Amino acid sequence: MSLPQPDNYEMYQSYNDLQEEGPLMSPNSSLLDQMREKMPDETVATYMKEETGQKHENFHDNTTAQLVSADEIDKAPVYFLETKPNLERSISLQKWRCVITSVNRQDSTFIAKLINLTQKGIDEEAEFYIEEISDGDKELIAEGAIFYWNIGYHYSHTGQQTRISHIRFRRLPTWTEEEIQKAKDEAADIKDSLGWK
Amino acid sequence: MEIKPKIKGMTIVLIGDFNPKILSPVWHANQGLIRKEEGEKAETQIVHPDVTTFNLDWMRFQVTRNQYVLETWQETCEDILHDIVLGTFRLLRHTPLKKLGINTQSHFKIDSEEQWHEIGHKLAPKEIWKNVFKNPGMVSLTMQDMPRTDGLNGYIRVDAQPSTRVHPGVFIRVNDHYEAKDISSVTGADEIIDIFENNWNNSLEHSTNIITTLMEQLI
Amino acid sequence: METAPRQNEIEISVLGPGYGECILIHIGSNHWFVIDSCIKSGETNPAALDYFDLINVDPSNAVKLVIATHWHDDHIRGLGQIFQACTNATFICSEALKCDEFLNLIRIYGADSSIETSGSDEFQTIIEELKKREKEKNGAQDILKFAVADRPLWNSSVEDDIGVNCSAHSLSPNDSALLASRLEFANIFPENISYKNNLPMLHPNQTAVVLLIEVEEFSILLGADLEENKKHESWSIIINSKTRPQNKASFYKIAHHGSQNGDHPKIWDELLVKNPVAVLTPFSKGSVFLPTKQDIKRICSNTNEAYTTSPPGRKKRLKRDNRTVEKTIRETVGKKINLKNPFYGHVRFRIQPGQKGQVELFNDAEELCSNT
Repeated sequence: MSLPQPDNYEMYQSYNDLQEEGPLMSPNSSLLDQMREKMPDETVATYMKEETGQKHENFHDNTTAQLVSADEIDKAPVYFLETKPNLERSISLQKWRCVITSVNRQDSTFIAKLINLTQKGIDEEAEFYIEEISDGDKELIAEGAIFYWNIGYHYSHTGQQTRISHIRFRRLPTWTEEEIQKAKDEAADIKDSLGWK
Repeated sequence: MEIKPKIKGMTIVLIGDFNPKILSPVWHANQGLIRKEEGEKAETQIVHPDVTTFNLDWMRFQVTRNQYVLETWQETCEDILHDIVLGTFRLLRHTPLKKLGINTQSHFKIDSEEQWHEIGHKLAPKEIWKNVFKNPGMVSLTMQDMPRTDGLNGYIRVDAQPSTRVHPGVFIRVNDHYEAKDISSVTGADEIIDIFENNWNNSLEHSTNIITTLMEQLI
Repeated sequence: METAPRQNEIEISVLGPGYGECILIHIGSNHWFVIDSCIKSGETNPAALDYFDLINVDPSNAVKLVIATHWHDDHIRGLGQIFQACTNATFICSEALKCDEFLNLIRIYGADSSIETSGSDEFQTIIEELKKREKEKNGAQDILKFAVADRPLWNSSVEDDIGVNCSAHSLSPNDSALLASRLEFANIFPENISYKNNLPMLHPNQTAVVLLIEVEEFSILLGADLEENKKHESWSIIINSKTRPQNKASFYKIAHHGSQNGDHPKIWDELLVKNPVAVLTPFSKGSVFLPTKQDIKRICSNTNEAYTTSPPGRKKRLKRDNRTVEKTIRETVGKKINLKNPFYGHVRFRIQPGQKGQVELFNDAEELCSNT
């Protein structure tokens, strides 16, 4: 029951093009209807099961080497909604990548070095209030943390223009055990090659 | 005169072998790639072994068995796309990735229909077409630079078309395309993700330069 | 500015602030030491290499020692480039960095180019260059040395090829600082954090290398970023040491931007001659500016020959043409946004044997005591 796949990727100029060219996005039927043709109701129902707590055998997907747990298979949420075009857009007038250099919890402020991405080489420093940061990002505030600050205009799907100051923290997951061990092994090699005892 | 697009978008596409069911919004949030609330409130169309597609308020995500697409029309969020791709495939480093496309698309508003027609004429002169068509008009033009000058496999393609989102307007898309050295023997994500990481800044700069240079000559 | 020092002329040039600070010392006969590095805001070339180019000095031959008194990029930006250019120089850094914990830190941060300006890039570059030179090593030349309290780092005499009587000693870090910094490096190793962030700096900087350089009869004390407090009596240990060279210095690069923590009253009494030439590079972070007015008063009570490479406490804002951006910045951070390192200066001191030394001030450099 695999879906037809394009040989190479096609870039879509607008949502309308996407609608016409992609089998998933036909304007003439809802996504649910399309999926129903291809996926029997029994299969859909399996995704809606309550968590059983049972663990299946390790499930190796044949396209990646990732293990998928039974709970994830059982609980995979499947909601069928009408596909809406994403017409919200924004233009950036000024961009920085910022690094927090110190945090003052008492004053609820932090200081950051601002690496100017719009006018390269002209870096600045600023003090921010912690309340300027989205709740979902507040836990990331720490010395050395990196965030993006963009100033520009946002346009709603009805064309309403709003001036924005958009701050969002960078999320690059921590080093894996593999990466850490690799770094330690390389450090040991450096020590050897320099005769650094 | 500063030439700025009216609408700017970015799409990152990867060709490889994926497991779409893994890449749900909840998975992304659990791995810390997006905010927890975004994972919970994502507008999910489907999470299925063959396809996963969901929207956040600033991003659209779709992955099938062999194509992974992330798209945003919010210029303020382009670097976040980069981080999601990097974070995902540093975690899932055994995912075979064969090709990468960093695609920048811009819609420019043109002052008048006359100027708009002139632009079409500059890109695709009509003289030879007047011998075969009554009223020739440019629908789309694609130019390619190949091989790449940085020594990597791939090419750069530029598409120019009349815009369907602003009128009168011009749409320009730069497709910065990279391929693994030996596609048939790819076993993981590292090669393509290293290319992605090392070339991201240059790619954005180069694409912007291409678009700006073209527009400066057209207007 | 463009004339190189005479063969028998000692020169001490203090450059900064930029990203970092830099000291260049000419010991004579076109032999130079480079201590730390800085890059001016908006530029990509280290200030030291620009200066050498200006005065027609070839760093590949002339520079004998490249010394890092600090390990974080913000203090030694461009040092990797300098070391690459100084192909005949020995590299010296703190003994506190000669540990698995620091190397692990450099490797884990250095290997990840997704964290740009990670804080460890310069040491990454230096290590690669050291590995390259170790492979090519064809003589007895040391390419790498470590600095620790009371260790001789350099010795030359009139009779040898260099032709100058010169010695250099490190006066820090001390033994307890070595252990403490090792623990701190282990603590900031990323096994315990959730996200890949930049490498944080450690305060105080216990790995700092204080140097005493003696050229003929003239001594130079370079205070680096060494601080003294109840927990880390770093300066007290130096002052009380019986195994350090006992000559008093006539030139002092003031420690830690002239801060109270970087000072110890006995530095001026026991390590320096009366009224030495003293130079500092200022520092700013948020609303913290060093030296403070009290610091300046204190320094000027100890010498009236004090200079700064740029005006302390002065801020500068970037003037923007875009009103939207300017308005939005004001609404987000108010007035609390300033250019990083907008001022840059060069204090140059030259002295010939038997003559009085001369101080020259370039760019934003000025006298420290003129306004007290």
